[in-house]
Amino acid sequence: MSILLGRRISLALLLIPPLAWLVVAYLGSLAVLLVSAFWTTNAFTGAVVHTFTSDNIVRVLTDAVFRTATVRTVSVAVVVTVLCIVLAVPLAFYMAKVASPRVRLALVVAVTTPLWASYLVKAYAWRVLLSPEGPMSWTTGYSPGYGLTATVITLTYLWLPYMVIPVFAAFERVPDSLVDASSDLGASDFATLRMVVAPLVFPGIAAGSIFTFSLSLGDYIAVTIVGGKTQMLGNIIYGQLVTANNQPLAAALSIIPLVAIIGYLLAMRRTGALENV
Amino acid sequence: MGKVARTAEAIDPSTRTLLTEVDVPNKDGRLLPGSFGEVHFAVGTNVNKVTVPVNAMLFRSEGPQVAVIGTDNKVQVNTVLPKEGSTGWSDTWMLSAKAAHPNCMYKWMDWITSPEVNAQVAEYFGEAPAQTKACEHTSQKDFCDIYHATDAKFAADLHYWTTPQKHCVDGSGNNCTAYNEWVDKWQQIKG
Repeated sequence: MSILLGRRISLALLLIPPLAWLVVAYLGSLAVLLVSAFWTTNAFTGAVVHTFTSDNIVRVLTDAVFRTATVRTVSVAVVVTVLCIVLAVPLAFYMAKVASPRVRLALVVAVTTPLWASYLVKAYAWRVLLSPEGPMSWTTGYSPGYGLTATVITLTYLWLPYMVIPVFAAFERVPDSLVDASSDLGASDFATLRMVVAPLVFPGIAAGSIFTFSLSLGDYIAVTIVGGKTQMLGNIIYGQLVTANNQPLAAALSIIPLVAIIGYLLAMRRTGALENV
Repeated sequence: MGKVARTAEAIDPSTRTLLTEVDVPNKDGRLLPGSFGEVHFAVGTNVNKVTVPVNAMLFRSEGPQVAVIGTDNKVQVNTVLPKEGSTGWSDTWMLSAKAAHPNCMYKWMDWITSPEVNAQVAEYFGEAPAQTKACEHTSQKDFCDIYHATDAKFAADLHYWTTPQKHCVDGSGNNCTAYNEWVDKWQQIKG
C-alpha cells in the first residue's frame, strides 16, 4: 500500500511541472488572448482599457478587408500544403523504397540541412532569386516578381522538409512484404499503391500537412520579404498590434487562424489519420 | 473691410482649412448673428516666388531641393518648399525620470546641443541645426542659409509630425482621424 502511494506521489511530482506549464503558460496565455479581444484601448495613450465590448469581434466578422485576408491566407496555406504533398510524396517514396542506402543518406541530409539555416536567410535568398532583375529572370527571362506567387513558392520551399520527413518515415514503415503480397495476389502496381501503400502513408501526409498548413497560416515574415504588398492575416495582426497599438483588435483577429487550425485538426481527425501517428 | 483677429495657427490636415477669426465693423447692423457670408482675403503678394516644373526638383533625404546658379556662378542646391508646405520633425533628447546617472545625461545634453557639436550633427545628417549659434561653426559657410535654419517664414510652412488623435491638435474639434484609423485605412488600401 505504501509502495503504491509512494509511486503515485512520485508520478504526480513528475507530471506536475509539465502540466502546470501547459495549463498556466500555454492555455493561460490563450485565455488572456481571448479575454483581451473583448477589451478596448484608450485612443490617446494606446493603453488597454478593461471595459467589456464586442466591437472587436464584430469588426473582425464584418470588415471586408479582414475577410479578404482570411480567404487569401487560408488559400495560401492550402496551396502550399498541396504543393508540399505533390513534391514530397515521390521524393519520400524514392528515398524510402528505391534509393541505395548511400543515396538515401545523401537525400536525408539534403532535405534536412536547410532546417539548420536561418528562416530569414532562406526568405532573403528567395527575394534575390525572384527579383525582377535576379538570377531567375536572367536565366529564364521570367520572374513572378514579388507577390502572392512568390509567397507561395517561398513558403513551399521553407516548409517542404516538414512534409518530406514524416512521409519518408511513413513509407519506411510500409513492409516490403505487403507490397510483394499484393502483387502476388494479382494487384497491378497502381492498385497496390492505391489500396496498400496509400492508406499506410496517409497518416504521414496528414502529420506533414498539419505542419505546412499551420506554419503557412501564421507566417508574416516571408510574405513581407517576397510578397510585395500582399497582406496575410499575420501582417494585419502585426500591424494592429505593433503599428496601431490596438492589442484587443489584434487579439480578436488572431482568433481567425486559431479557429482555422482547430477546424483543420478536426477535419484530419475525422479522416482517422491522427489515430496511429 | 474686416481684419484678421487670430487664426488657429495650424491647418487642419483633413479639411486643409485654417480656422480664422475676422473682426468686421458692423455699425449699421447689416450682419445678423448666425448668418453665413463669403469672405475674400487680401493676401500679400510681394513674396518672391518662382514656379518650377516638378521634373526640376530633386527629392532627397534632406527634403525637396532645387539646383540654382548662385551669384558666384556656381551651382548651389537649395532646399525648397512646395506651395502646400512640407512636413518636418525636430530631434529631441529626453531624460528618463528614473535615470541612474542624471548628471551624466545633463552633461551629454550640454555637449550634444552645444553650437560646435550641433553644427557637426546637422552637417553630418543634412538637417537644419536646432541651435542657431551653430550656424557660425558649420564647415560649409552657407549651410544654415541653404537649410533655412534661421528663416521663420520657411519654418511657418513646415507641418510638424504629431501623432494623429481623435482630439484635433489644432483645436478644431473632436472629429479628427486617430492614428489607429490611419493603420486601418492603410490595410484597406493594401486590401
